[in-house]
Amino acid sequence: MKFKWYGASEFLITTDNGTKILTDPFQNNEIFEGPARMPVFGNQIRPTYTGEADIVTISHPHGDHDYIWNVQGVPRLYAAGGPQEYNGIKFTSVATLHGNDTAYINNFIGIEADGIRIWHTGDNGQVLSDKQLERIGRVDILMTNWDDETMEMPHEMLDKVLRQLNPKIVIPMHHCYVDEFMTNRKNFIDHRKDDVVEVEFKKDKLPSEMTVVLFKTCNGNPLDFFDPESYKGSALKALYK
Amino acid sequence: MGDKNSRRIFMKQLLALSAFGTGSLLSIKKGIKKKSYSLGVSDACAMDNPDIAAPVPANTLRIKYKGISCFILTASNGMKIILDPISILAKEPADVATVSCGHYNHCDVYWVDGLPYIYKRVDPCKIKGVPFRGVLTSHLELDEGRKIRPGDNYVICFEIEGMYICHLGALGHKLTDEQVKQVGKVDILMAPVGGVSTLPVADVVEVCNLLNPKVVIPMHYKNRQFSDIPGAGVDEFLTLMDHGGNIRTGGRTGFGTREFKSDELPSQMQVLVL
Repeated sequence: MKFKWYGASEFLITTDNGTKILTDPFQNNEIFEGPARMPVFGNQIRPTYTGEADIVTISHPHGDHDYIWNVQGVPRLYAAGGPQEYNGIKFTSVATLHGNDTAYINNFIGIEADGIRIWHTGDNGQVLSDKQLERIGRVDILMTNWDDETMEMPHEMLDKVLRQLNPKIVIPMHHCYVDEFMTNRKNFIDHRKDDVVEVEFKKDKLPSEMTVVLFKTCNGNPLDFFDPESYKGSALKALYK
Repeated sequence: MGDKNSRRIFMKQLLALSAFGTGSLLSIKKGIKKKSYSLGVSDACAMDNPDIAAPVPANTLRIKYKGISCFILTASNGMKIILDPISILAKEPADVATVSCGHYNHCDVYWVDGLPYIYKRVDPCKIKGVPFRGVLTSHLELDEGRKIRPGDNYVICFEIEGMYICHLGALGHKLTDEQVKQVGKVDILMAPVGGVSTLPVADVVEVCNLLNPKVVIPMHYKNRQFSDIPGAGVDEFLTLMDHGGNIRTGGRTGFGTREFKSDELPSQMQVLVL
């Protein structure tokens, strides 16, 4: 299966049978700004995926995760809830707490296709309980939020979550900048410098040890949705230059 | 004896009055004063208070209003369509969810459960045997305070149980002749009547007359549940639409749910507050 990153938590996954799965579509603010559920986005306009998708998954109802309007065609929707199956692909979800705002809901979305178990963390903000871990089960590819700056997912917590889930591939998403916690990992693949925007994973070629794979956004966005100029407190602005 | 009797009657009346409460009496007075339209009773519109737990009878469409622009439609074969989902749904399973525009209280699709199809934008298509189409219109330009930009809005039309349903979404202008032609025949029309982030109420009346549906269901207005949304209540629209006997409101809380049959639709346009 192939992965493309559109920034934030938005990935387009194309499975071997050609099914297009779009995760957590981002609101591009072209049509609507406010009454901002997520005031940090301000007036930013950035491209999102505007093609067709067969199925869209949504982890929780926030503007940067649930904006289905830009998707073309007549997609199916998997917005958490009970297990579902579509085109031979299994979907399931596990409820967790939302980062930085624990009164809010969030869901891990599980996708099982081509023998690979993918988990998308949404805006997770907790170390997982035994019950949650049991329901999540094996993790091959983990797309995880990585927000130390916003304290949505501090490094210590992320470290614990990664140890708990022990995935083969970790894809950081929803991050403001690339930090040392990411680059100093034992196994780290950086796709930012090469021109690779679509990365392919195969079941029998997954690494045996946990590997962090950093994507380049395929729509020319900066690393992620946060505007480093307006985002005060980011000590690593230089990385954007 | 007679004196005692009359006193007893007086006491009874007093009791009845106090049980009713002065507050509710006042509100009734207010209501009469405010509502200048006449409440008509007519033969139309199928059953008044359907048993919502029971399965939908044959050739019948059940329509439930959830607030703002959100309706849940259930056909007799069990097919469920949710129009403009909002967060109040709390994970409602459906076969299809339609989205008229990209604004947050029209496309909160997270709250629709059960792997639904999401129908939005213009391409006509058939989903589970129901033909859907959208007519491209515009959203109102309104840039003060809420920063709603003009954008696309789609009038969603489909045919189910032999009835043509049309949901105007957050329409921001009068329909052109071309758009009226594209919408075509309408039996049940859902029209926004709040008049602030949608078209002015006088224009809604004009659109209703152009489309000439059998039933108009007002939506997108302020009510007790949605007291914080921009716009007016439903009364202004009802006053303008009143031709004597063509308005049914079902009291202060509305009907909530109604069932419709194609052969039992009224012969003349009726306004029905759900």
